[in-house]
Formats: sequence, C-alpha cells, structure tokens
Amino acid sequence: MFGYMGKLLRINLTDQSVKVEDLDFELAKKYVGGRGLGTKILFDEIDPKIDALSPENKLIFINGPLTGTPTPTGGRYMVVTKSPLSGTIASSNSGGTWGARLKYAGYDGIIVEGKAKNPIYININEDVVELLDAKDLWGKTVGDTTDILKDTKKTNVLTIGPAGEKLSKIAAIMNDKDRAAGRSGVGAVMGSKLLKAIVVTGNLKVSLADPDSVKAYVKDANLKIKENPVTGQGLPAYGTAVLVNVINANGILPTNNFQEGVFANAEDISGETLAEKYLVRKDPCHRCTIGCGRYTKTDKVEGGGPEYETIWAFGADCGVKNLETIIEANWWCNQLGIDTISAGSTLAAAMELKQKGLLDHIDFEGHDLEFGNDDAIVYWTKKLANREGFGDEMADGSYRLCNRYGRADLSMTVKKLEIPAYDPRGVQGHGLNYATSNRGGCHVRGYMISPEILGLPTKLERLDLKDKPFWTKTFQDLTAFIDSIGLCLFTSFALGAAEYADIYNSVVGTKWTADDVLKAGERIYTLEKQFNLAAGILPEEDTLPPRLLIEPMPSGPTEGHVHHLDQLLPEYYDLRGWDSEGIPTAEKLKDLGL
Amino acid sequence: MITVKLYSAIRKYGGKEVMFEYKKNLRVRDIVEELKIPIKEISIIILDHFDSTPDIMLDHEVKESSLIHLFPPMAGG
Repeated sequence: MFGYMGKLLRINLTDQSVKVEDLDFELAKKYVGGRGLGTKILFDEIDPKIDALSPENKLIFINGPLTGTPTPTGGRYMVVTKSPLSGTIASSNSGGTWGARLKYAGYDGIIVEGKAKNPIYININEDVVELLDAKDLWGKTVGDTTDILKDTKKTNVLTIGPAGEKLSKIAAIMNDKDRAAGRSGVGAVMGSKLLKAIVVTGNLKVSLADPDSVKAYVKDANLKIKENPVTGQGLPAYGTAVLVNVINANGILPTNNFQEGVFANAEDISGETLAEKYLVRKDPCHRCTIGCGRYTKTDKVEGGGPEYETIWAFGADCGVKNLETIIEANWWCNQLGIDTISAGSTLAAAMELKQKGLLDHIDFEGHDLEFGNDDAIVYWTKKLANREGFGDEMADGSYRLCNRYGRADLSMTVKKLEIPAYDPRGVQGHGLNYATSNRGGCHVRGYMISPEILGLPTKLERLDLKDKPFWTKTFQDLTAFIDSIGLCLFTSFALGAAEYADIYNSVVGTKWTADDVLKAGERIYTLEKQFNLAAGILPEEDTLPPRLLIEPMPSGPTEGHVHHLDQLLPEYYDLRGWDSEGIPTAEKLKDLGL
Repeated sequence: MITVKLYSAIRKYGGKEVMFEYKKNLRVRDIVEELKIPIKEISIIILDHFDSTPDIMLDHEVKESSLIHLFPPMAGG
C-alpha cells in the first residue's frame, strides 16, 4: 500500500475507546482519499437525517494519499461531517502542516464518534493515543491553546476556539494557529462533542510506489509552478488578495451585501496595498512551492492572513475601506475560530437589515452596524463568536439572522452557506457552480472565475451561457479529485488532469489516465449529492438568492445583468446524468459504481 | 483624455495610473507599446467595461474618454 499509511484511528468519546483499523485499500482507491473517502465513510456510518450537533454525527479528519509526500503542496487534509449550518455534507479543506503530521504519526485519518462527558483533547504520538482533560483549555483562544499544547517541532495542533465551543454554526476548526477548515460550521460539530483539540506528533515516512518517478514528476511540476506567472510570481508576491482590483474592474466585487458590484475604495483594500503596507513575509503551507499565504502586522495585531475572500467579506461587502481594521477582524476570527467569509457576510446582512429599518430595537452598544463603519466589524466579530448581545443573533450565520426578521431573501447564501466574493450576475458559470455546490455557496467547488475572468486555462466570455455547464461540471469533478488526493487547488493554475494522474500514479502505483481522474471526481461529486438527498436537502435548493436572479446589477461593468440559472441548470443536470430535478439516475449511479 | 490603470507587477511600467491624449485610430496596442510593457506580461485587458482575450483586446480602438485596465497573469480565490 503506497501513499496511504494503511491505518485509521477510530475514537469514541462517549466510551473513551480508541481503535486502530486497517484502511480498506480497494475502497480507498475507489474514493481516492480526503474528501471522497471521508464522504464514503460518513455516508456508510451515519443516517444523513440526524441532527448535525448530536452525538450521532461523526467528525472525520482525513488525508489524501499525496498528503505528507514530497509532491508540491502535499499537506492538505479534509474535515468531513454533516454540516450544522446547511444540513448538507460538509467537507472543509485546510493546509498548514497538521494533516501531513497525522500521516507522519502513522494514520490516514481519524473518525471521531460520540460525545465526551467533559471537555477533552486527543494527544497522538504515533502508537500512543491519549484522551486528556481539557478543562483548563476550554474558553481559550486558538493562539493560547496552540502555544500551551505545542511542545516540540514535530508536534502540530488543531483546535477550536470559543466560537466552536459555543456551537456557532459558522465556527471553524483551526490548525497551526492560522490555517482554517473554515466553512460549513465544522467547528460547532467539534464543540458539540466537547473536543477542544487534537495534538499530533510523529516522524514516520510515507512510502512511495515509484520514488524515482515521484522525484521526476515533482521536479517537473515544481518547474511548471515556478515558471507559471500566476503560481511563480503573482501569488507569491501579492497573495490571493491580488484579485481585489480585477474582480472590481469587472463589476462583480459584491459591495454592501451584494447591493452593488463596484467598490469605490477597492485599491485601499487590494493585495497591492496589503503588500506595500502590512506584509511581513510569505507564509507557505507544508511542501508548498507557491507561497500565497500572508503573514501581516499592524499596530494592533500580527499573524497569518488575510486572504482575498476575507478582505472582501469584511471590506467591500461591509463597505469598509480600512485595511488595518480588516486585518484585525481576520486576526480575531483566527483567534476565536470562526469562518471569515460567513462572519463578514453575516455582518453585511445585518447592516442591510439595519439599513432597511428592521433592527431599530437593537442595542448596538455604540458600534452601529452600518455600511462603512469600520469600528463595528471588529467589535461585532468578537461579540458574534462569543454569542454576546446582538452577536448571539448573528452567531448562526446570515440565513438564520435574516429569516428571524422575515427577510431570508437578504441572506446571500446557497443552502444557508454564505456565497463568497464574486457576484454571479457577472460570471454565469461561477453562479452555476454556487447553485450546484454540494456544500452550498462555495467558490472552491468549481472555480469558474479562472476561465471567466482570469483566462485560465483559456478565456471564456463571462456573460455568455454557452458551454458553461460543461466547464462547470469539469471544474467541479477535477476539484473533487484534487481535494481527495491531498494537494492544494491552486496547483491547478499550473497543472492539468494528466499531470495529476502522473503524480498520483507515481505515489500510489496505479495507472490512471486523465479520464480516470475526472471519473473519480465525478463519482465523488455524485456521492455527495446522494448524501444531500438522503439528508433531506430538496432539489430546488440548487438555486441562488433571489436578488441575483431578478434584480439587475444597478451600475458598473455588469450593469443590467442578472444570473440566468434557469437556462443553465437543465444542461448541467443532463451532462451529469441527473434527471430534470437534479436527481442522479440509476443508470448514472451504476456507471459510477455507486 | 484616456485613463490607463495598471495593477500589481506591471505597475513598474508606469505606476497606478497613466493619462494619454486621444488620437484618432489609437488602439490599446499603441498604448501598451508606448508604456513599453512586453505584451506577454499582460493577461487581462478591460476596455470600457468590455473584456476578451488580450490578442482581441489589443486591436480595439479607444475612445476619447476610454478607461483601460491592464493586468498581468493573476489568480487567487
């Protein structure tokens, strides 16, 4: 068995038992690892209809076969569980080093079951696995918890912050301090089990099927990444926030809770300004040869981030132009363990509720949630994560907040997950991806911004509908594979399906082609859809917020446009082999071996 | 006047913004050459809210008050 360590840890918090199980290699190959294998295990072991915050839900931390290998960016892991925010499958990806360390400790993944009686943490040092008292850690920030638990260079810490403990449905799981499995509220599932942290120490090696080939393919891939102007120059120099200006220039930078698509102060919050004023250094993940991660410093805070999506959420979407304050809000999200996209977008939704006069009864404690008020974003981020005052109403995301006031239409979500930093009215394929993403409003399930805005791998007209279902499906399937092998999605700016097949084969010992890669991705995508249907997610939830479907963009380069989902969905479902309601046909399930 | 906005790595060729006098038949390509930006360093061109591939955009003629955005290859997410 190459690439995989061949072992899974099963830890039951209710009876405090720890079991080491052999990995079923045939199952692993069929579902690859990470996102795919995690979904298969979860679907086989839980009833998808359960309450996500009940002890019956399981929390799976799982690597891909390339995690912990010398492959470029080979350090990613997945958190797979049922989402308390959306009720869908949740699979949140994170970098840093923790995932690779779990491989070095000898495990492909951990299946956490049940619920502890009191707060505990798990300490793994290769063969020694202990469940330890976390009473003194409960309530502590991510930074403090990590500092207390990290005692050697070969130790990595994953933890929740106060937001996860308080069951905020937009809470994240953090690792290596600043890296987040951010989306879908996975931190609340960990908090519901009274599990504070997982500490991993290990020094084992991942065996490779063909070490010489791995070496050659890695050399080739690293050269491509280095020579590619995006992965070799743009991302290392400016980070993901380099996108602020180009998205704004296309009139699709959602501003004031998606009421507009152009933010007048975009330059103030751009990657260029970040690099000029606040960047200390690059902060790459394990084995990363790109280095898009930022390490920044202001007069008040110092740490990892912020990413483009974070800058948008607390910046343009809240009408805030003060980058220093946005960096501070990001820092607090990391400390308190909360998803920056959902947190910023929820504040923006609250601002629109207030703008419309629906929150006149609320005590804003001198920090009015009004578009452009930078003072409010840090104050209310802390209150939201700690469920204090009006923060408690925002702690479960924008859908539940807006629905409470009878205006669910003002929540910019798909399946209750906040959609990120690109207005679908000006990027038709990307909007289709949002609507059909199995975890709800997510940009990294099929990043159609690549062809529609950035011209990668080829330029598609952003407002055209032609061929968008095909491209969206292909991007979604390829992404499902990348998320399952343990590499970073950003490698796809320089590598294609054939190159992924070569690297995967050299590590695992298979003879897959590019078509096999896409078919595995399609299998995983369809399995996720099956989970959602079994969970009770309705087919009509493959949609977008009404604003994006019926209100034309008021001004800018996308002026007058809406999203044409009704024209794109039928062809998309047809290409997937799903029926007209978006339900996979028996024939397609058989074809995929599901 | 024509406004040309430059971003990230290609700001080294002219800063954030450069103004040009309008001339009849002036194309985006003429402005790029005037700024001495190697064409291979430009990946995205937006002219008055319209964008397409650089090879198409370079041959577009500009208007008296055109706004041009020039970007090098970039990605994120």
